[in-house]
Amino acid sequence: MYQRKRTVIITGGLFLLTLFVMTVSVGIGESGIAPQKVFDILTAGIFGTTPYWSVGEETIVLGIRLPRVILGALVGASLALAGAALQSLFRNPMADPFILGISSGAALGASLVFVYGLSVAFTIYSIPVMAFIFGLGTLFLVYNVARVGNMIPINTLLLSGVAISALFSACNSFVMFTAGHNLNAIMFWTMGSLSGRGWDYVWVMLPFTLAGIIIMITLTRHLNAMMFGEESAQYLGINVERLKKILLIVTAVITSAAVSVSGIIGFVGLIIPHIVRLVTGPDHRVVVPVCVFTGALFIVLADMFARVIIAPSELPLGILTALCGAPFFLYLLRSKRGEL
Amino acid sequence: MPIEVRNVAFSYNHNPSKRDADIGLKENAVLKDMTFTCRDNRVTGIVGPNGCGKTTILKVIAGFYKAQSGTISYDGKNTGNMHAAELARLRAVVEQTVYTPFAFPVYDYVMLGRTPYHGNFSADTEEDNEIVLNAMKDTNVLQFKDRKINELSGGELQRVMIARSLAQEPKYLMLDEPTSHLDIRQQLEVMKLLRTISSDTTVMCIIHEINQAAAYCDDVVMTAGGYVVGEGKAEDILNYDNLNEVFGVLSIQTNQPESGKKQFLFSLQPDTHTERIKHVHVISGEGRGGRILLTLKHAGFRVTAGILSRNDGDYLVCRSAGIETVSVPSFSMYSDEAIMEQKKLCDEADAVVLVATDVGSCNLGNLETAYSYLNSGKVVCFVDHNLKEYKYDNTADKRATRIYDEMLKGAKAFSSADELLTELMN
Repeated sequence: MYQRKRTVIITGGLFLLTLFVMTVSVGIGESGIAPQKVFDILTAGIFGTTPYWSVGEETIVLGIRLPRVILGALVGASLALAGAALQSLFRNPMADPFILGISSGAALGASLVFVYGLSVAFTIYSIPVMAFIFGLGTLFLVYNVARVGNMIPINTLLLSGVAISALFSACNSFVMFTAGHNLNAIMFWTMGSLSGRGWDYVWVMLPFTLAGIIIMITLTRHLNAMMFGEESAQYLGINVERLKKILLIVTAVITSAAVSVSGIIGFVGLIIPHIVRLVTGPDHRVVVPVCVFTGALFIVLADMFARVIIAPSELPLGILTALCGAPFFLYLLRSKRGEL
Repeated sequence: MPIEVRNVAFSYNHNPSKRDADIGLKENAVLKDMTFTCRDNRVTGIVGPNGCGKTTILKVIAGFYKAQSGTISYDGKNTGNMHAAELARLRAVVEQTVYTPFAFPVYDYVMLGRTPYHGNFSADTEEDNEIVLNAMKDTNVLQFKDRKINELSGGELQRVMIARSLAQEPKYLMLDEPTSHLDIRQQLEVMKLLRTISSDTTVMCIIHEINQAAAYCDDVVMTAGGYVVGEGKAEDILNYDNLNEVFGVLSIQTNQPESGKKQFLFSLQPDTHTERIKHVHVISGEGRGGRILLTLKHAGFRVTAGILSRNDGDYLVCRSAGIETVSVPSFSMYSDEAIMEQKKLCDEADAVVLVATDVGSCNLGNLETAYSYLNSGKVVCFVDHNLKEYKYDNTADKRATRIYDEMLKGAKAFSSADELLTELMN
């Protein structure tokens, strides 16, 4: 049974936990900084703490690690949110944010920049911008292939997503085949990373994530009804065609944004909603807010490990999320049959 | 608060954004031209063969599909431009089944019925809770309040779905075969519940089981091939001719003893058909001749029957199927006129069929008549449904038993309507 009070407590607790882990994470890396010091640096502006740290440490914390950690949280929240919404929309627990081919479209866009230098005058931002444009373009294509009049039949949508995704993967493979010395860069990008992302990326990602969260929170009752199919939802007074469009556009935009800043980080959108449902039950009034923070927490932790496991080099984030995500998912599948 | 359906046509292979006045004329239209009314506070059953568009018309009426021509109105208000939420506060729909892969608790599922009454952020109220619990009590599902929706059996799920629709507090309730997954007791309970609900709700219900429609529906709309074949009170619409036309089956009508509601026994029509019209006269009684009469009639024979008492089941069959009958008032001896009339029919007939019944002084005359044609050159057939097992003979000198013995020896004997038909076809 849904209880608002319980939801607020869980969400609030997770929020505090996320903040704590983010603070710890900011301190961890090649040059470690104690959490207390990190906290003092972060809150110096508020509490007016007298600096007892070096300028270098301040730069590492505020200029390098903090934006990276925040970006990780935003990306994780976005992907988990998109996954939860799409799983309800498709009534399929195997759905994830990349199900409609956004990842392969974005990857193609990024590869084109790497290999052919299609920079479209954005210079250093060419990769994220092209990834974003290609990600959204893929959805536009998939959507229009599947569309019948004003309606989007869910099954056709899934199939056209699979087909167009395969097409773009092939194109991408071809581009990589001809890539020569750029192959490494493409590979690293497609495996996902937050390495070297500064505040500019945070400012780009923040509005998308916030808008996504706000829109999804207002749609939680509708997402619940959608779990029983479009027809059921319609009978409960939901404008299903409009809801489908909103969900598709919101998830596509936040997913494309996430992919454009961090590359392809798999498994987050698939397993976080699952884990959350196992704990809270499938009611989206709880699942959506809890997913936001769990997703954020997961990526922040994963990025922390990515930085330290093979230091001084960095592991691509996507490898790490898949490495812990896939076995855990298999464990869930075996132990909780039918209880998704 | 009637639901009025006027000239509705619908096709799945049609661009749903267009309206097309001629859609009903197209061959692939599922609904060609549907017009009927579900009256206030009554249970209206939608009856028709598989694939005739029953579910489609329900979805159109409920607003899931838009009719490509024609109108649907609730209480005089056209639903065509109503918002989904407005519609959901008026009507609730119980689908054939719902599926979700997620472990959604039953209580929360029923609470979904309150969705149309909530904005995005309003919490469920104590009033909602009461409405939900009452709906669950009425449908007898309170005991699995905390179970998960994807763990329920078909019958449990069906009742939970009805509970959810009641939580919606609808003025119009539409159900798509609500008893299809239920055992017999639950079927009757659900139908009884629908009758209770109909005291302040207009109930429309697709129903497969004709006898349930006859027993529990006030009105029946009979559909076939995208058209409405008949509409009106259940006892008027559910009759021999309509059932034969729409389902292609033979039906023998009986009545529930206490309520007087119609019930039917069904059998298949004969596969074969005669070209040359032969005349067969059937002598039966006690309802034992019903199937024989209907089978012969549908095989193309000219069938007459007699002498039948007017409270006999066979007499009702003859009347509903339009078979010419010699009859006498209930509980009376055969009159001389009746006997003469019977003889005349037998003389005209190409074959006389005697069906074994229990015999008393009243109906011994029937046996004598049939016996008199034995060895007269006319084809005489004897049907005893469990061959060689004599019927109860209540005559003074066991005359009936002797006649039966003679018939078994002299006439062609059969044990079923189908055997008889095969013989008469040659």
